[in-house]
Amino acid sequence: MLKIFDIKAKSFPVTRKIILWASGIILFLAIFFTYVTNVTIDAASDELLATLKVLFWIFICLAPFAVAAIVIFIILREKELADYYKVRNKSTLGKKVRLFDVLNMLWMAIFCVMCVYPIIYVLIGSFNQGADYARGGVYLIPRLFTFENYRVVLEKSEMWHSYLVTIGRTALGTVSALVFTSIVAYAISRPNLKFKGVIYWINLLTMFFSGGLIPYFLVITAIGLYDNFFVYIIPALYSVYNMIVISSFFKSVSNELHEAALVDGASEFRIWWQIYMPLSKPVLATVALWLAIGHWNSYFDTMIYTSSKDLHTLQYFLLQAIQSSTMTEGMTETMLQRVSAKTISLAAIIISIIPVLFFFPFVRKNFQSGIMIGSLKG
Amino acid sequence: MKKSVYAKLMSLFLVASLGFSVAACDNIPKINNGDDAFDVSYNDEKLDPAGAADAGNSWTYISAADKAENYTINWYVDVSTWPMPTGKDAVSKRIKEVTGLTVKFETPVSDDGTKLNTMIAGNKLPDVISMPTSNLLTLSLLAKDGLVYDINGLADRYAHSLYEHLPEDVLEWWAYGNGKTYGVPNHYYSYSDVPEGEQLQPNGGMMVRKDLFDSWQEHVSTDSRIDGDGMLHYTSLSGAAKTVEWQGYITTPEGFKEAAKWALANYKGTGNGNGKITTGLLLSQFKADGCTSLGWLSQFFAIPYEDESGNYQYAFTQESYKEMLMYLNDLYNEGIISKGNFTQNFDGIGGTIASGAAFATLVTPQDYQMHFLTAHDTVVNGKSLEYVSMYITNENGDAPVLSDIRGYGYLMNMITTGGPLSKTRPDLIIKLFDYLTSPEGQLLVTLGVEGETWNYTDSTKTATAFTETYLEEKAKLQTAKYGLMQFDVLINYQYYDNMQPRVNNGKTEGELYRTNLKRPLTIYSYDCNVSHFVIDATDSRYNDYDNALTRINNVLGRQVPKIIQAASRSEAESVYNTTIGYLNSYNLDIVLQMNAESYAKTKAKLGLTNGWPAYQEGYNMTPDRLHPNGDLSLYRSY
Amino acid sequence: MSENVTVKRINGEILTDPSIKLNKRRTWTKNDWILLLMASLSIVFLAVFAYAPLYGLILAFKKDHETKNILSAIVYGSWGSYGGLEQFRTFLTDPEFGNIMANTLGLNILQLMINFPAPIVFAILMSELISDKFKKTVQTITFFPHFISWVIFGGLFLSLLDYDTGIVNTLFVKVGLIKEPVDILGGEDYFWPIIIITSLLKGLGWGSIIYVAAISGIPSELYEAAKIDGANRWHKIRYITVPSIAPTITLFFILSISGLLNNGIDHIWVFQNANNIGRSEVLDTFIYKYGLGMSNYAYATAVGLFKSVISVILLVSGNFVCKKLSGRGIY
Repeated sequence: MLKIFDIKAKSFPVTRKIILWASGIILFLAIFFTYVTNVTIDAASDELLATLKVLFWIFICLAPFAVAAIVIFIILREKELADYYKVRNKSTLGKKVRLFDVLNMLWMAIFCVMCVYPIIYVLIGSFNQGADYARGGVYLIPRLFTFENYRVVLEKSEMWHSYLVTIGRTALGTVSALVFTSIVAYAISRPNLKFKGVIYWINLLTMFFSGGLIPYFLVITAIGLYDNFFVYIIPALYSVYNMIVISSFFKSVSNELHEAALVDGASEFRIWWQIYMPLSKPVLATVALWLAIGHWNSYFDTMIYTSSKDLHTLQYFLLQAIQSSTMTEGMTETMLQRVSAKTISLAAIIISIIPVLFFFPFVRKNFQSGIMIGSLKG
Repeated sequence: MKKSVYAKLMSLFLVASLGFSVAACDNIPKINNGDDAFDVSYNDEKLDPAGAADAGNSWTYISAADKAENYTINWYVDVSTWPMPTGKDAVSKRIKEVTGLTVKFETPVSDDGTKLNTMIAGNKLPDVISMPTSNLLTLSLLAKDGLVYDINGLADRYAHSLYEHLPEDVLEWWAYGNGKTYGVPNHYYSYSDVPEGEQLQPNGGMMVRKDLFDSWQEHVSTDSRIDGDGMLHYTSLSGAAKTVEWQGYITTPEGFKEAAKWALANYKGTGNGNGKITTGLLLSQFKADGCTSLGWLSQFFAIPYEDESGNYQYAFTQESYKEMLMYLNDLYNEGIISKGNFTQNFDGIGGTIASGAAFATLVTPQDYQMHFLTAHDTVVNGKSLEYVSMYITNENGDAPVLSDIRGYGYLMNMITTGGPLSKTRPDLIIKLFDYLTSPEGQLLVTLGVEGETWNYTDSTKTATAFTETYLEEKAKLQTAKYGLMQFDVLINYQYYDNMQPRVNNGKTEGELYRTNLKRPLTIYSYDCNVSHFVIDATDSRYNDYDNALTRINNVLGRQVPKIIQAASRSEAESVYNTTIGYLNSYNLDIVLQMNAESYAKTKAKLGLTNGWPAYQEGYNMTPDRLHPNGDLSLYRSY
Repeated sequence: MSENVTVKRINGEILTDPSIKLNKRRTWTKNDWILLLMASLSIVFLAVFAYAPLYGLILAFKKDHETKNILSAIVYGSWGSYGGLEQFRTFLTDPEFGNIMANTLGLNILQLMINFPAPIVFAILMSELISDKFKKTVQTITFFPHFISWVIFGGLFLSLLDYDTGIVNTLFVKVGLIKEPVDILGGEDYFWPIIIITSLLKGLGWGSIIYVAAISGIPSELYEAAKIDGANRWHKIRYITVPSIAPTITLFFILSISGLLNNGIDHIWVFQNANNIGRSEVLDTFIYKYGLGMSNYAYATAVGLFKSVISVILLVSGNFVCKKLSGRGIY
């Protein structure tokens, strides 16, 4: 037997994961290319058709291997499970599957379908020809398949630049805001903070009152952030809402831990960084997700606080592209029929949300390590 | 004790932070309401060489030194849907060669004015602002605040030739009370550009599915009500006995109702392009502030905006307008107007058209060009689902009075007093304006670089044709590099229309269908410039006027669907009466008053005794009933 | 309150050293300074980005349409009549005021009753899933709709529910459930349910993240112990899960109460139309139409300020009630 199929090897879980994913992707692509080579593609050039054919054959040839790999792993898994059940059935902690579990699973599955469908709807539309899409009724498969929508968006060199800007602001913005907000959250969560009441209210009131855009804009320009990359980072450093959320979690960390650290001579700053932060991973991950998605999706600050094209973010670029249909600029009649602002925007959505899906594994990981919270209480 | 310490801390904090911000913004311009409003100062050192101003085109005086500076103009267009030129095409290159200027465009992504407001308040003005002429308030405030130069002042100093290139009536149309004009519009139709005797296309139109229309004509031709002379006898909605040529029965309100009912009875079904229809008459989207279809229908029904003594008349309160609403109510109750129509958004309406699912439409055809084209390209059982224009008349049979596409501009281009370049060198920008307004610039922007994409075909330079190279590239969809029709902020469309290639124009069948959508209705379209009167936004009552008008439009937007959807005529009438009550309570008086004043002023400006085309010479009261679906022979081949 | 607790504890530990006890009362320790420094980061930030721009609220008391430069209007614009309260008066005496407030509050209270608890229930149900793999999948998938804008997401519903061509009506008529198509999108009575259901579909997974995070923080020993004690699933939820996440629930409940006047404008916008306007016009859409839409910024600011004041009142009273009922509040 090959080494990668050795259940007892240390690297086995990782190898299995990689191989399973690869097999899954190969199978998906095989199906996709089988589909694509069998539909009429609008505006397909000979090169495109040839490339598709080659890809189709490559993946069709790979498919049997992928299936084989999956089958082998399923068999191995069965074996593993069998061993596992032998042990587990003896344990009193073993769970039984009840009716509730079945129903729960069933309804979750239904709900998942309802949540996946809108994405599929967008995906289908993004592969449909523009003029045809306008007739409506495209729900399950593209009626007139085309790659034109993607080609039009991806051809723009500005898009890749704006992608970089967005990734940069999301990474930097999330980390800095998380640190800044949690510092404040920690201080405010401490009962021994002086002037706690007044500080808290100064914070709270800003959630409700704002002076409006123009005075805010003037502040931004006065401190030199206008048309500066840091206009994406600094004003987003802190949010009272997130602070309240984080600090309410900090409050649930057991007080004994804090006192023990104090007695050991740790400063409040060290306690925050070395005890509270690691213990609050679930909530920090959640807030990080909020922040990251906020950064990823924002376009308004780009419109108002910047003027140079170098600072355009992905969402701004896509929005402007869709709205002003700069994409369709210089296009002739025939081209306009192939793509419409609507179908281009659907392609743009797909392009912009693919990276977002990679945020989740990171967040989930931190949920799992959050078991420590309150562990000292119990 | 504790409380007061907190209070003290709090107030100290507030004062400190507010103090910071006020310190951050000095130099706030005061509000000008007196005589010095509208004033700007000029940098007179940059005047043209002595005596040069009168001779020849102003842009030829841009010095080599200025050209070598490589100035950039920040040009802000306050319309999110405006397609920006990339600046990488032949037209931009040519502009740069001639004027030495590079134009950098910017557009917002939302149309609520926030971007412009922040630019003004934050002192980050662009050099040029282009915004819709419909936004009267902002246009006048920009001028009043001294934020934009007056065109007269700049042209007098730096660009005399602009007066030759920009038609006088255009400049005058937008002049304020002080006689000055603060911007140059695009898409204007000057009386000097419209060829004598030529009628322009209407702005709105009614379209009908041609195949269904033909089947109906065939069906009605054997109707028992037709006498030996081919006249069809019918009872009108108000009960009078009437006759009409059978071919034109569909153009009467009764006939249209019958035809739509017939079509629904025979072709009803849900169709994504299978030839079935879901609605008899498709109206455009019912937005919060109204539905454009009502305006178009009132033009077909020839509801006047002027009374017999030449005074302004408001549409909604007129008896004939009420009758029109009652007609729509009748169509609704007969199932001809679908309930779904009132909840559909742009995509929904467009989908109905694109799938050919409406017997007739009253939408603005140019807004749904793509959808009409899709229907045109769909073939079911060998027949295209093509829509062609048609018309209907009022019960009396008066010919429709359609407002033509003329108008005094869509975008207004203003040169700011505070932009990075315009602050010191407005002369360069007005020269660029002059260049783009001149015939040379217009042909560059619309047809491209002479010799590269087009050539004159005659010695008098009145006819043009595209070059073979251009047409070949166009067939290969490779036209972006030429940049035609991209730089359209100062375009004079009528001039282009006069000059565009009539042969060898490389237009596809689809493009021709699109440009000809409403052309057959041209015979019923008239110059209604007077009805597009401009309210003087510098008037002290303007604030109230603006508020009242917004309220009224929103009330109508809410009530009109209720009138149309009322269960019976009497119910519809009672909703109508309630609506009149609302209008009065929202200060309809001031709207009527200011409209009437502006109307009279505009009439005087245009030199008209009667503004309503039906009172003017050349109006033919009897429509041509033999060509009810418009005369397709009027289609242009270019 | 809790300050005492800390003091007591410190006292309890170091009673033998009276000098430290004195220090605690009279002078500040280094840690006090550090904490204050940490907290004052927020003060500096808010002073610049939140309090400094507050002078913009002056606009609410001014007349409008005198200048295009809003900054000039704020500083030099003339005061509105009725002692500067002109804009507020216009709003409060608007014939539509009652209806708008009723819609805003009605829709929001309904959302508070349905859309607030739903993610909690969802998170608990998710935690009860037996397969870890499935749990992960559900978590990821239910986030998806959050990333699709309302225009697109709502557009899907508009086409599904369309009166003439929508699948829902067509199907129901075909099956014979209804004789005539139902005007779901236009009916005033359907508007609130549509908003509730669509926001559930779009926001359930996303809204549950924080509760999932809270539940995952509950030590598993608690469940193990309960199991040994013979607790069934319901008992575990009732006596472990819910009490453990109760602080989180209270926190978000109070925050939602203070947001009772906010409606997602994009969401309403998609489904609002001429026929359901009587039920769909809410404060936010109203401000947009009559404030920003008319460039009447003084009016928009005044209505915004009105909203802020109400929100603060709601926050304070919501917090008060919660404190009385559960002993917890956000301050």
